[in-house]
Amino acid sequence: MVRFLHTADWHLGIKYAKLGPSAERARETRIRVAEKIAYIAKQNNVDFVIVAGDLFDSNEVDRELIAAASKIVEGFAPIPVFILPGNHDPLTRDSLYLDPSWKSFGHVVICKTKEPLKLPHANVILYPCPVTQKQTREDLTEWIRAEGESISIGIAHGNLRTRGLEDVNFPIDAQRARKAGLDYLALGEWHSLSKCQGEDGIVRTAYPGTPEATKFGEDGSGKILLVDIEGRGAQPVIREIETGVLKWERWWRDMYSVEDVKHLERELTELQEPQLRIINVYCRGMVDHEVMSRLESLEMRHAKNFLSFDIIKDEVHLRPNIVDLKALMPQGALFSRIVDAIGVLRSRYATRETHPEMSPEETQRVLREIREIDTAVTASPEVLDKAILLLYQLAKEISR
Amino acid sequence: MIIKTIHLENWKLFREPVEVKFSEGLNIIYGPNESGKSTLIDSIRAVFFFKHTAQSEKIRSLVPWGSSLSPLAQIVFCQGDAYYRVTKRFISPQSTLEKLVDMQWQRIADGDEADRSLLELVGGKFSSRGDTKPELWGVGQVLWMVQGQPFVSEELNEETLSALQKLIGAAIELEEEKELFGKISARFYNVFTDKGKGIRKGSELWSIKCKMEELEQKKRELEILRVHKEGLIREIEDKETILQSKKIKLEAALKEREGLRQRVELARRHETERTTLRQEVEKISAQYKVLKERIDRIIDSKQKVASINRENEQSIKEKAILELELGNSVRAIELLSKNLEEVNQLIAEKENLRRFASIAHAAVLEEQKLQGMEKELERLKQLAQELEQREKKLIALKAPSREELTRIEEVYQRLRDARTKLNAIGLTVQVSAESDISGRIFHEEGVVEFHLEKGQARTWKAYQTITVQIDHIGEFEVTSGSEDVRKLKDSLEELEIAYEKITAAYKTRDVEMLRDLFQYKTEVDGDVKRLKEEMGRLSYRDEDALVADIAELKKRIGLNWSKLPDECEFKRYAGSVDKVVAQGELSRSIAEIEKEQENLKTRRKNIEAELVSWGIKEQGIRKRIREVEQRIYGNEERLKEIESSLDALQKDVAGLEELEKQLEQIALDLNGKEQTLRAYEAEIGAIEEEPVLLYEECERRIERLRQDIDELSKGVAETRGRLEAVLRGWKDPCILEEELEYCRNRASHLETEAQAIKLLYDLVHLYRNKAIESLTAPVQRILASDMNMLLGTGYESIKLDGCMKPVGVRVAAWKQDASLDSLSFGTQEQIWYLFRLALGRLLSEHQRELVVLDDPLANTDASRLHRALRILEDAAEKLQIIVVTCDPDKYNWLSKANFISLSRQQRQGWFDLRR
Repeated sequence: MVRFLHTADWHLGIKYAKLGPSAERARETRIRVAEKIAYIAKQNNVDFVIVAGDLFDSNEVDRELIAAASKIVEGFAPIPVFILPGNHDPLTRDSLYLDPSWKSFGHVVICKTKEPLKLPHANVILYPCPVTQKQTREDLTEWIRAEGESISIGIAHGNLRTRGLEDVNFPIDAQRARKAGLDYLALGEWHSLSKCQGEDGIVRTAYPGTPEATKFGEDGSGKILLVDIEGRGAQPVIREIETGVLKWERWWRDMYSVEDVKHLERELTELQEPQLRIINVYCRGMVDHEVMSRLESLEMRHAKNFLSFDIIKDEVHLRPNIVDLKALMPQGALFSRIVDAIGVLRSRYATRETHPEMSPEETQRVLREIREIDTAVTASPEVLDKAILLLYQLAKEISR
Repeated sequence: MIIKTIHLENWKLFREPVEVKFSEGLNIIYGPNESGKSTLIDSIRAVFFFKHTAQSEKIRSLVPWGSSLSPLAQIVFCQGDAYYRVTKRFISPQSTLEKLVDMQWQRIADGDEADRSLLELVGGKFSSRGDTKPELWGVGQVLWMVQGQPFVSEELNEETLSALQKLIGAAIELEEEKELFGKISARFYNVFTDKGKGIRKGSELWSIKCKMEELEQKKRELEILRVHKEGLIREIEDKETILQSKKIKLEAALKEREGLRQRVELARRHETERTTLRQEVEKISAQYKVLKERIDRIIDSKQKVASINRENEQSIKEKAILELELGNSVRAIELLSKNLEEVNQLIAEKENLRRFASIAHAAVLEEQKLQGMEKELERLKQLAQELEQREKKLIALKAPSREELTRIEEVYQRLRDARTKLNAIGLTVQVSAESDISGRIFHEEGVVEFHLEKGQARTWKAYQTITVQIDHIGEFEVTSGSEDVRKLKDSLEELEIAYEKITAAYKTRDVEMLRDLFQYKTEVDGDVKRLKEEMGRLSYRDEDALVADIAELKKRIGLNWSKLPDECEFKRYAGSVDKVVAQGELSRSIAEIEKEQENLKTRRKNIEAELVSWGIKEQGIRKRIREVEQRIYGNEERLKEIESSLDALQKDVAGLEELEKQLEQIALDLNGKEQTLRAYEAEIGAIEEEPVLLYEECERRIERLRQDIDELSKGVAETRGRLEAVLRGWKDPCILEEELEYCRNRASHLETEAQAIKLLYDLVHLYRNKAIESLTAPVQRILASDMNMLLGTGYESIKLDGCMKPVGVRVAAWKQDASLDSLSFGTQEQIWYLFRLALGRLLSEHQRELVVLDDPLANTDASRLHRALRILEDAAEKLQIIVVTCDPDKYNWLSKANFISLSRQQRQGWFDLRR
């Protein structure tokens, strides 16, 4: 009877382009998760741990990460950890696994060759298929012939060739477990947890997924697998354990009025643990300058609460209320003329509406007046929108 | 606001009180320097814009020198239809403001309040520091020119602008708008530099851009590093591949070497055996050689003997033949020698003959010569004789020479002429006889008897006198009395005498005969000459010599003939024979003899030649005979030698056959051994050399491979080391990307914002400027027309900046603007002058305002000045203008001006001067 943890795709050192300054924090989280896995391993008294590839996000991550990773795996001691190089951290000459510091751990084995590994204290033979190149069409598991009476566990990293996925990198035969005579085939590469049934209906092949989600849309990630195998030929008992902490969420909201903005704000404030959330709010609608302004200020105010917070306003159209805008300032010489000028400029773009209350002749006159100003002539719709908003905000400040 | 009067006491140089009244229009204050003109004008400003309690330097300087009295000023002015009077005293401060109500001065305020109220009335501000300045004088900033400062350097103050705005009715910028624009400006300058062109260094956008650049740079560096890393990895892989293959090769080579070792052993053994065999072969070979030699030599010698003998036989035969030949030639030579002798003899004989013939010939020739000589002698004699004759004759002859003859003829001719003339002019007697007459005629010449018969006539001539004597008749004498005739007759007589003289020598007087004589002499002369010539031509001139020579020659001839022997055939020519013929015959004989001689000589030559050739032949034969004999001798000697050596060679053996048998034996032995040796030698390449070569080559290969492996291993280790170094310092480029991405987004946002701010800023400025433009239009109009008048049409208009100040002019010709400072000082001065007046006129819309011009147009020339003053006069219709000048004459023609002289004011007290 053997019990082990099956995990993969830790992707330490991964880059989070969209998180900006929070990226580092997010990376930190991944390290915490790995540490947690060590804790879980000890708690569950496992015989060994399998990390089936992509422990590192690439061979080009900061070498300091090796120290961090070392520390993590040290935390597993004395439980043996079998690490398989994956397609992101293949065993090429610049591989991090060649660093001499790995040798200092007695309980860590980097699977470097396609050779069966007999475990010293258990009746288990491991069949690792290390990735030694960045790409290949070869099925690296093909060599496995598991005969004999020991529990045979394969470790591989690649893409199962199930229906619909034909032309892939690192292909793995979907029936490998059966063909090779394996009791269990521990895979890595897919970030969402997924189990593959054999022809006999028994699940011997599984992806644990990444223990911490790496981006939006990775449903079913943030887990590791605890596997028990009674004996040679027995059905593996697979249990899922949650490890992920960060929440990646995408919201879609309509925006038309101040109410909508306020509502959004309420939703946001009600969220628990905002610092563990990564939220993208996709807004859609038509707003006037006041609503837009509020939306922007909402974004600014809440951004710091969350690990990452973004309001995507690509689909939100600004429709400034010229009259209201003008009314903000007492009737002077210049303010309304400036507002008119911007309005006229905006109306040149099809995506923006025409300036109300202005006859075509007046529009022409205004255009002639401002045509010598480069910034006016070359201003994009976004710049014009921003100009209106700025004007609004500054005017508001003064009129208070 | 206009000033009515100014009253000053204890004010700078006005120690005595002074009051000046001003008219509503143009006032011209004049006076010499330091007469207090500017002090007077300054007082307006001092009173209005200083608190009465002011203690500043400026105020204190109002105190007259050496006095401690407080300066006092009282100004009456008109503002908004009301009259006011302000009295201010400094140092001992006092301030009072009064208003004229119902023709009475009513106090409005005192002290500080008076100061403030005054300011409110006239506009302007107090200075926060010591001295006041134009910006604080309200509209006075522009309207009141300070002496020496024709330009307005500061921006126009609010009051001026507001006053203008109010007038023009331009839209005013509200406070809120100002604030808004201030914020926009602030935001703008937060992002952009002062000039507004680039991004400000401290702004967020700039920082982000810098950061992005940094990150890009780091990315680039990492990329280079990555490429380098990849390179190193490839290097390591390549090297290890090669290393592997070399190791395999090394193994193979080592195995090969083992195999080769054995072969090398075999090779060595083979060599040893071969060498031994070779030595044996050599030994036997030597033996063989020696024996063979001996045998050969024996045979050789025997052969030689035989041949020598044969040779000798041959030689003897040869010798015999030669001797025969020798005999022949000797005989031939003898014969020829005899012939030669004969021929020589013949030749000698002929020679003699010839000699004789020659002698004879010579003698004959000489005889001929003798004949000739004798002839010549005769001739000589003859000639000598003739010559003698002629010469004799010559001596006897008396004849005139040519000159003499000529002379004679000349005289004769003259004589004849004279006679003829005389005859002509002389007398001519013609007688014709009627009967027979006879008589005599006596003339100079002589007497002539005459006889005439009847009917005969005769003429006689005479010169001077003629006497005719007729027989039985009588005598007639006729004499010419002509002088000429007489003269002529005289000359005739002279001539006759001369003629006589010269012909005296000669026998005759007849000219003809003289001529003949002369001729004859000449002939004879000629003969003599001819004879002499001929004689000269003869070879002998000297008869005696010739005779001698003849004798000599005869002797020689005789000698020659004697040389011939009597029997000689040629002697016959000695006698009297025809010498010519003889000569010819002799010549022929000689020729014949000579020809014969020739033939003989030829014959002799031939014989001699033959002799020579026979001689040579004989020599040749003798030589050959000698040779043959020598040969024979030589051979005999050799024969002796060979036979002795032959003996030696065959000394210790039975004979040649035995030796030859021995040789055969040795040959067999040798042959066998040689074959074996050859077999060995054939194998040298394969068995001896090749293995060694291969072994050596193998060793070298092994060495090389070891070295290569060594090097490669080191190389791999070194490259690995380098790779590790690179990896150790590795930084994840993805993290950089992450940051870059973030920065880009932020930058994009900031850019949009920056553009928006710029747009707002630009719009604000645009509309502000437009507002100001509408403000400046009226000012422009006034200025334009004034400018035209003053400066001419060269300048189209004055350009005002956004704050209403003149900054340039538009030049008509270039259609371009020129900045103010590019114009001459005088022109600038004039422009500001016009500006002040224009502004003054505008501001005087509702009430008259005061314009002060302290010594304006100092740099203006006469023509412009005139026009400027016209404008001044015009303006004075609507303004109060106070002009301060030291040169009132400039303004003399201004009819309506109020001239105020200060020079007198000083001395006199209250004064009010009107022109």
